[in-house]
Amino acid sequence: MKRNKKVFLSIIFFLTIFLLPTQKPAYAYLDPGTGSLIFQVLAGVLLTIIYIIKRSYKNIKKFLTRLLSRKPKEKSDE
Amino acid sequence: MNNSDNRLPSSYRDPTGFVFLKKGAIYRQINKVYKINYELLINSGLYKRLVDSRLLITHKEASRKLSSVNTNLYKIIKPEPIAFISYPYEWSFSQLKDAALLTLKIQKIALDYGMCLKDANAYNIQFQNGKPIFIDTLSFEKYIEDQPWIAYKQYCQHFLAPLALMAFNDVRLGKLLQSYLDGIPLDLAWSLLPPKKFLNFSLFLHIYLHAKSQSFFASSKTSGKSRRLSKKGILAIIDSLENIIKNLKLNIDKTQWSNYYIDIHYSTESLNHKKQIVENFIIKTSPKCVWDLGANTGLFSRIASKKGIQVISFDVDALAVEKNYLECINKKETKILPLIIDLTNPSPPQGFALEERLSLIERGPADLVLALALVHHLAISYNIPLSLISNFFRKICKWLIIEFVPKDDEKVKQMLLSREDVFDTYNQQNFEKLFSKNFKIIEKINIKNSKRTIYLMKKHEN
Repeated sequence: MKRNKKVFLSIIFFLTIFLLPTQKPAYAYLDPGTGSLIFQVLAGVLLTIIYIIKRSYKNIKKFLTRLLSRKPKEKSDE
Repeated sequence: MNNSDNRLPSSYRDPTGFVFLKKGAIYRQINKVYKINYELLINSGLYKRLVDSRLLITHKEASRKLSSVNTNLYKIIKPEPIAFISYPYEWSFSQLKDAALLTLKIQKIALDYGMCLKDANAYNIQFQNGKPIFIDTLSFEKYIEDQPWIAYKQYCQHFLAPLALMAFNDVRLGKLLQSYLDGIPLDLAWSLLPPKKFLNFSLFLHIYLHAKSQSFFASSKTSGKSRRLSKKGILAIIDSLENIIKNLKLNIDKTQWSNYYIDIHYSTESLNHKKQIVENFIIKTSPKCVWDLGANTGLFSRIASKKGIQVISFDVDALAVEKNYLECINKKETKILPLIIDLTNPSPPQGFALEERLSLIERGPADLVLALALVHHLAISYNIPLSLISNFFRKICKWLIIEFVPKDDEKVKQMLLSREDVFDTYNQQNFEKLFSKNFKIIEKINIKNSKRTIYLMKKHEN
């Protein structure tokens, strides 16, 4: 029983330590809502991925246009 | 609430400080708890960057002795005064849009300086010299690595939801902000938007999925890693919000726009004479602040503003106010503030204990009120007795320039065509008699080629 109690208290202790950083904004008077925060993380990740895809697509497009526009030039050089 | 510290009733939410009134001037107390953030704001260069770009109001540090609450006191600052406090539910579409974009711009700049906005409500913005400006100096806090933007939900409720409703449904839906002081609930906004909302991915994300997440994650106890979002992620959200808001436009055709301010009830000669009378009366009263009631797109407001007088240009028509604002922006006019006000139901006191947001009357009186081609609308279209109109004007001004439009005027005849004439007391003699109870008639001039008369009146001292 005593041992179980110790384990239990340790868990509580480490959990408290672990959770402390998330309790930092003690003066954050605004309640953003748990749902909104979790959602924002997901939306942020999704929008970043979309941004990266868009940027890559633009880069590929740029590369291809350059490649295609260069070809006739190379031919004329020959 | 303990008001012994002269704090403004609207300044109770933020524990880092409050705004108070002393000898007619506005001050802001900063509590010790905000010390680190205030120092960061100043020392990081963010304050200078924002103030130099006229994005944030300036302030000067003032004597600590001004405070009556010394326990938590860190500093007292004196912000630059705002000419006229207005509220988001009085703004036109583009005013709210500009305020929305300003908030995002500030948040982006703040992140560059290692800070972020801890709130994003529309009441943090006011209009000064024709442009929106951020007024809450205590809204900035140190950016903590990987922490999501705490004000994201508030931003969507205060800006995105009303703007989307105004653009996709009806511009008049901006008035919903008067009922929902903390912004329009996202589930309500989504239910009101028309079916084409499904074609807009950003709206679907920031309004629908965002609203759904409230209930879906409501009981979630996750913390730590699952609530971490990199700065890149926050910037991606800001960019997405910025893109969608920039692309929101009012659905108005050109003919609707051009129909404004073509007043068919005046010949050019009469209109010019009316302008001349109004200008002369304004010069005689030399006001500092003018309220133009029923201003439409601000034709007569500009007579005063061109003289460097601050004019608040009120109209009930959201599109007229929109057009007025856009003209101010295009011509870089700094002395006109167009606002949506329904004179039959002007902005009441609002918020907790009815003290957070001031009524229109509480924000007066103006030195001079212009009431041109207005009284017949109030008296005949809305059945408001002349005595009540006179009593209302008494509360909001010291000087009054008012136009009387008699029953045999074409406009009034037209108004009476579709209804029974129950306005026996609506005549010039009675108008003068009832207004004389509250005002002294200084001068009256008939407009050339018209049956209308313009009066200059001064409020009785007692």
